[in-house]
Amino acid sequence: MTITMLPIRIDRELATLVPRFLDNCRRDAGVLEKACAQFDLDTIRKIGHSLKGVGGGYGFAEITSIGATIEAAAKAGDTEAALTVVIAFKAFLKAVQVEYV
Amino acid sequence: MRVAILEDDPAQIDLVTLWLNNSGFNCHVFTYGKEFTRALTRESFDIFLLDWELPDITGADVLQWIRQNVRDATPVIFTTARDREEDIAAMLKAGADDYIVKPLRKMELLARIHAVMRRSRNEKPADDVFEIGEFRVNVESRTVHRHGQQVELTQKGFDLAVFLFRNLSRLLSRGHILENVWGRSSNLNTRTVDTHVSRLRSKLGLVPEHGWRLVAIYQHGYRLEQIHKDEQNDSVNTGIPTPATTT
Repeated sequence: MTITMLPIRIDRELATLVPRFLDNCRRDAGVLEKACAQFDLDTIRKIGHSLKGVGGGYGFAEITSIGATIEAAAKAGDTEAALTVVIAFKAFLKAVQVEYV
Repeated sequence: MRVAILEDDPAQIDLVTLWLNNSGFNCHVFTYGKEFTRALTRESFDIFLLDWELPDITGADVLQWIRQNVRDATPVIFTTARDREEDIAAMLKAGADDYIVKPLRKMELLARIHAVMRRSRNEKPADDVFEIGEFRVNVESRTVHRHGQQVELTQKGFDLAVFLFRNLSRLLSRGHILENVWGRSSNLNTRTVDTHVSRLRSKLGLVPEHGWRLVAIYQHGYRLEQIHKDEQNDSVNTGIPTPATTT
């Protein structure tokens, strides 16, 4: 998966919510990493499903895409694939620069 | 408009309530299915937004409970990340009025809510001037005429009359009435509703002799009914959902 490291334009209406959302994503990334190490497929699937459902609503289509890939990997029982995406997710969260418009 | 949201994801709750509150909706959020169905035994709403995956029961169970227990056709929109065609078809067949695949988009969500509300009976009559029985209501000039004679109403009395007329035959909870007429931030007691309903019944003559029944439903709320003469002796069907026994 290719992560585009570009500033992301987000609706100003969401300015009060986005910092908390990204903080929670960082926390989720940590939980996912541990879950991959412990082969906890249920946790991986649930967090992947949640990210898939919510990312795009906040304006982060990449997070929806990441969540979908994580969920699919968990359903396939492939924690290695999930971990690869989780690492990319962490890199994305480090690189993302929000611009409110 | 009063919206009941069944959703357990905090990020999703933040997003949807922000969008809807900013668009003039009053949001009531529930994170557990059983908590939601319990609330429906005492409260009424204009629309339900249901998630599928919940901590206790599924959104599908909740939908089934609604269709079996909530007498009026309050619209249901499913909002879920499940995008399989079979899931969408199953929920629409089970009684959902619409199905939106997450991630949600603000304009689409609002447009779909308004679309299902238009299709439901809840927005009728929405015109600024409407006639209902012997009444003629002008929302713009805030006047009510009965048999051509203007009835003097207080500001809140008028708002209450419009809300009841626009929701004819619907069981409306005291909380719903209070929120719609006095606003969400109001600290008033629901007894205020009882007092104003009683006054309105008297001022507008909403009694069976005149072809109306403004029924008080114990521990729930009120329902305004227009009755025909041959129905005036019929027993009252409360229409209250039965207690939550969702599996």
